[in-house]
Amino acid sequence: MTQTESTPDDLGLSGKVAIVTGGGAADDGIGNGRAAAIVLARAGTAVLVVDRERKLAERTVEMISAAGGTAAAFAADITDEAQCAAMVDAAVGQFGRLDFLDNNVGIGGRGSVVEMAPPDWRRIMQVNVETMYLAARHAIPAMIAIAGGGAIVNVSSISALRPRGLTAYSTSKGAVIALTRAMAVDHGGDNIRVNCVAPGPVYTPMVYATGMSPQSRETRRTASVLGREGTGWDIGLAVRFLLSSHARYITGQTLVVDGGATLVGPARATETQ
Amino acid sequence: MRLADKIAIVIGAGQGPGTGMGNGRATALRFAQEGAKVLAVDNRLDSAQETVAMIAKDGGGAAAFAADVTREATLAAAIADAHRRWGRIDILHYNVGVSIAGGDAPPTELTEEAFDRICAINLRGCIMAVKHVLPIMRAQRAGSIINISSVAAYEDYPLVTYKATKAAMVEFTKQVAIQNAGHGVRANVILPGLMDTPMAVDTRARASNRSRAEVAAERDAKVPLRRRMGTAWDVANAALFLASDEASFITGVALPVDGGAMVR
Repeated sequence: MTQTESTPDDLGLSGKVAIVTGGGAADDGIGNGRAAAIVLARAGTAVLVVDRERKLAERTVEMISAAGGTAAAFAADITDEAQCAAMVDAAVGQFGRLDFLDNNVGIGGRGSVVEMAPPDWRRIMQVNVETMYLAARHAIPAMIAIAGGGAIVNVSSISALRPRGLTAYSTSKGAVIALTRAMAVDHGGDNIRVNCVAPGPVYTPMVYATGMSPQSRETRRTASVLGREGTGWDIGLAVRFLLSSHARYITGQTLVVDGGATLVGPARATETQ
Repeated sequence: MRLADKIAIVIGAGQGPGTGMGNGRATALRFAQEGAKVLAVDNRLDSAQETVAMIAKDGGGAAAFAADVTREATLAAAIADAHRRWGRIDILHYNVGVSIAGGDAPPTELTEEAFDRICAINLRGCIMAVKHVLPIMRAQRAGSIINISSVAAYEDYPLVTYKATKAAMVEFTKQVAIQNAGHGVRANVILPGLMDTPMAVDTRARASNRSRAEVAAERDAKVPLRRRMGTAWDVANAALFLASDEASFITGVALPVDGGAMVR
């Protein structure tokens, strides 16, 4: 065994470069993307924080900078391929390489196939699935060319595993799991690992932006067998683990981070993801 | 230090003869490096003591304990020893398992004796260890249980006792997770794939009368990711994550550490 293999605290994150899409959040809220960006930066990774709204990404960068980390904000609508290409160029241009991609963009949506109108359906599939394809399409060649490999995490949801009235959302998040497995097979030989995190009931700005009743929160709390809601930090730390060298033999997997909610299939709130 | 002030029991912390590092020893070392006190349990006391000596050399705290996992009383004694010594138990890691070396075989060649013995080691020992640690973890309202299964549970694997016991460990662990989450206890299971460990490679080389290098090359070629087996550190690092508070919202998960083998 070489010494480097037994060195603790080295997650293989120092000196690396990550793109976190959907890395902003309203005000000082801790969304999944912001949490991932912060904990990656804490471990020495330079992070390009990408959000459709520059201000939200800039706030994440401020939080990272205040803690002594390295990050830059990048505004992009990654449903547009040209902007995905520009995003990757920005990461490589500013930080010299690209090692990690956290594909964290997504939107919710309620309704059965009968209730949901085609434009809404297409929009959810576009934002939740196509953006991951487009971002990866440009990130992977850059990872291989400069870093000799890399790691990607796609954010799914337990809605893919236990659907409950958010049918387009569940479908899109199920596609994310299949996409992850397919990408893992395609790029394993190029030293690219691809994994998925499936969050359960986490209390994040995306969830509470539209308001949530105390009753809903209680339902969500009791949905997890651990008896609490998760936070963006729980997701961010799982993303960091999967990107790190501590997960270097893990690929194609979906790590469920849900306090055990999917183990038992209880009633969960239907208002939000 | 991601396990600062935590107390861990690693069952199967020694290793059999062969080259390099086994999963149990690597996990014991990694836990200790991250600040945990470790009770290194093995049926070969000298091998557990070797693990403890490696931890001590690193400046960590550990003690060795001899237990035969086919005898419940010795598992209970190991757990009681850790509790008496350090006052709590935060992590139980069950890493004992046997396949070829226990006489496992396809059903047409399997003996009752081999079946019973492998079940006792791989599955009953795991369940008995959990049985004795749960009252302590429940009283603390905290704990993390990590069992080591295998991708053999879901893949083509002709040695059926090993396969069946490793599959059973997955569902057993999930039930422990469901019933103990309310007590603050998490339970997760790791499924190693093709590993470059003494148990996996050296045992096979001896059994098939081939060189270690030949067996290793054949196994490397089967791994989708980089065409290379994993090492004991890959399992140890996954266990570290699941044991740590970073995974405090993760329970009942079965995590393959297999270089993508299960995806294909």
